[in-house]
Amino acid sequence: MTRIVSSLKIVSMLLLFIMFLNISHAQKCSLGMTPLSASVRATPGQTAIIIWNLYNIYGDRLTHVSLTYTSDVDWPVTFDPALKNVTYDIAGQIVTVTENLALEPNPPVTVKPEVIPPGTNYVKHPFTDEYIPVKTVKISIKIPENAEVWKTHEFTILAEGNCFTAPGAVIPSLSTPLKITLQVVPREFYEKAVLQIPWYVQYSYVIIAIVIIVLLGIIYWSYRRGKKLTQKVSKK
Amino acid sequence: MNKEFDAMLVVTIAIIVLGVFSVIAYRENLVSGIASLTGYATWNQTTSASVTVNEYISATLSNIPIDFGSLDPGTTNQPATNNPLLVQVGAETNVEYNITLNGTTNFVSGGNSFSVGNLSYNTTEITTPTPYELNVEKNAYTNEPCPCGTQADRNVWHYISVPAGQVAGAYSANIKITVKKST
Repeated sequence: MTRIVSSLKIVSMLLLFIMFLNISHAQKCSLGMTPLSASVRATPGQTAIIIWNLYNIYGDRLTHVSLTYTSDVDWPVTFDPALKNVTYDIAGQIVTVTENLALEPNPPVTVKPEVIPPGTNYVKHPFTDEYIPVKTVKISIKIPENAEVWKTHEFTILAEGNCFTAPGAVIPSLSTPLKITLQVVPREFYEKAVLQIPWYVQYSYVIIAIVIIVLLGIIYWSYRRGKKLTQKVSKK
Repeated sequence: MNKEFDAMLVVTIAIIVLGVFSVIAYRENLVSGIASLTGYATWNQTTSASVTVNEYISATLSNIPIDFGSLDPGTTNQPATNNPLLVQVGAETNVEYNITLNGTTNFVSGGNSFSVGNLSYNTTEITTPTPYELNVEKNAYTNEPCPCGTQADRNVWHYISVPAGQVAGAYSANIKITVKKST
């Protein structure tokens, strides 16, 4: 009897320990992305489009992602998917979240599926022979018609991921940025040599004007001199 | 005398007209230049090849939310019951990275609040407990080496002080953990 009781005590302690482990290692909120930077060239009036891939390969719950941006210019930037309110049932509680998209936990796969749903993709894992399932975000930047050519502008897109956890005192969120460098380029390409113009050609019109004035001055002086001489001769 | 003057006048006008005509006629040539092409036995041109290797980064938070349990007002520097917060930087991350912390709200319970500055943290790099400041990004880990195939675990320990006389209630605050490529 005592042996049975001792065994039961050991088993219950083991069970409690396993439950404790599960609780400790639960609640993983994960957010990943690629790329981290992008360089774009666009002409005035064009819309630059950048595709950003977001993923959740380590989490154990949805990561709710909202997107914001900062920039050195006031040009319109839009995201697809757009920001929206979504209602979730979380263990019996109805909660409304404002998000651009939600990332389900989705580990890497060894084979890409033949049919890939829109808004998703698979990117090559950089270190293994696997593919990371991603959700794609389309970032559109509209360049104004009067944008100055050959100027470069910086845009920073911030993805902030939040997960629902058990009620707690401090609720952390995860964020990572995408840096976009956008250069405005002219609509057409041309190339022509710019020659150094000699000064006497550059100022040819001015030189001509001066020569004319001098010559006219000489003519007028000669005329006056001739007239005086004529007057002297007629007096004699 | 008049004849000499007339002759000089005619010559002068002729010089002026000739000069103006010359400049107008040949200025374009002087400005634009003349290009000529000499035959070459061989022709070569240089170009360049380029490729961009894509960058990946991910982070996973564990031991969340940061919980301090129940504390009395006036308590100072109490550690979180589930310290440390674990930030796991994914194995596919192929860049050096920084981890920063930002307290984006104060501790709030209904109409009562106290400053997020009562929350402090330390890491293996920042060994002195450092208080949060509202909406100020603080360094936790800087220029960490690329995981490049091996997951990297980074710990953040949290401590809280409850102001004396603080009204009872369940307070919560938000902090933002940013993992980004080192510049």
